[in-house]
Amino acid sequence: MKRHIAILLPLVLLSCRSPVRSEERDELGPELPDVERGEFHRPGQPCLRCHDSQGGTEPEMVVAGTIFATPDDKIPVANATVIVVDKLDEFRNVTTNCVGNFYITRDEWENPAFPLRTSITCPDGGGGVMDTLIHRDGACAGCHDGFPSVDSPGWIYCYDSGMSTVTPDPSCPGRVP
Amino acid sequence: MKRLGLVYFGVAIAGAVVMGAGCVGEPDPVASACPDYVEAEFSEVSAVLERKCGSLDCHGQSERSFIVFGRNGLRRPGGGVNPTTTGGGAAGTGGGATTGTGTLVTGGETTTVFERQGTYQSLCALQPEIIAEVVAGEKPPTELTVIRKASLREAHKGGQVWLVDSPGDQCLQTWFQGNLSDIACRQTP
Repeated sequence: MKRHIAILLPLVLLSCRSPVRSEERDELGPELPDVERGEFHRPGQPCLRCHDSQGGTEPEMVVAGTIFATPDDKIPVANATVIVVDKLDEFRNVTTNCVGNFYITRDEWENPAFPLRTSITCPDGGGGVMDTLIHRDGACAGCHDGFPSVDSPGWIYCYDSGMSTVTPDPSCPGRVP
Repeated sequence: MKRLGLVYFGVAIAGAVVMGAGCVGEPDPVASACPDYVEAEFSEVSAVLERKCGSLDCHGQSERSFIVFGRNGLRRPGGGVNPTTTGGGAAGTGGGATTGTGTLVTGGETTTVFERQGTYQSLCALQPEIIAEVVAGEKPPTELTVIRKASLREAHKGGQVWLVDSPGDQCLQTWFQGNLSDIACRQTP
């Protein structure tokens, strides 16, 4: 009997995992071999696929993303400021790290009221306000994925094509694949 | 033996006739039970749906049953837009188009008629039988899932989009009833 339980229990637990979420995570691919897991890994990917309440990876995040230099160049922009404002006018500021990543953890903002508004300020003072509201997905790359297309506004960027002087920081522990 | 074969043949013919008759009078799979598409009216409804439901993280996704096309989210592939347009989105929000690919992005050209028609088709395909009864006045619009979810009369992953009997609620309900309140649509924040 005990042996049956020992076999069945893992199966039952596995069956509770969402196959959709598992597939989404698998699609993200493996880690880069020279980059450790942490705040500098996987720039440009939808962080909340793993770092939300269902993802099970610490820290749990409520909003997270990456800022690049231009719509054509995936050069990370450090020290850009992101302001996220919720429906109740509560807000959080967060700054990008050397690989362009930024995130707000659940500990830092327990329960933001959707929809959210957001804007970015680039290191030179430029930037912009996002036209539309965020209704439920705190993973910026959930929508801002790849080049602009019918179903994506493209990744988040600071400067128009050819207008960037940003160069990657060679001492950064993370890098863009 | 020969007689038995004839019986089988007769049964087969009768069966074919009955099955064929079953197909006669089937509803046109393309026809819609929705209110007719009137651009001046649906553009009011579409504007509300685009604003309140059509962001890329909600119904601006091609995988959804209810798809909303428009300038605030998913653009409709296949035409209705100017392929040479280069949008002028603000820095940081991904504006601008890849010239020559025939695609537009958020922040570009305004929603096209082709896109509104896509939203209309998606909306009308949600519950065609109940929509037919609502349009015929046999059921209230509150029977429709799209009305129920937006106002949280029924569970909705995207939460409460508007309150019961608010302008947005009235906008959609009156459109299904064939007497659109464009004022309600325009009052929807």
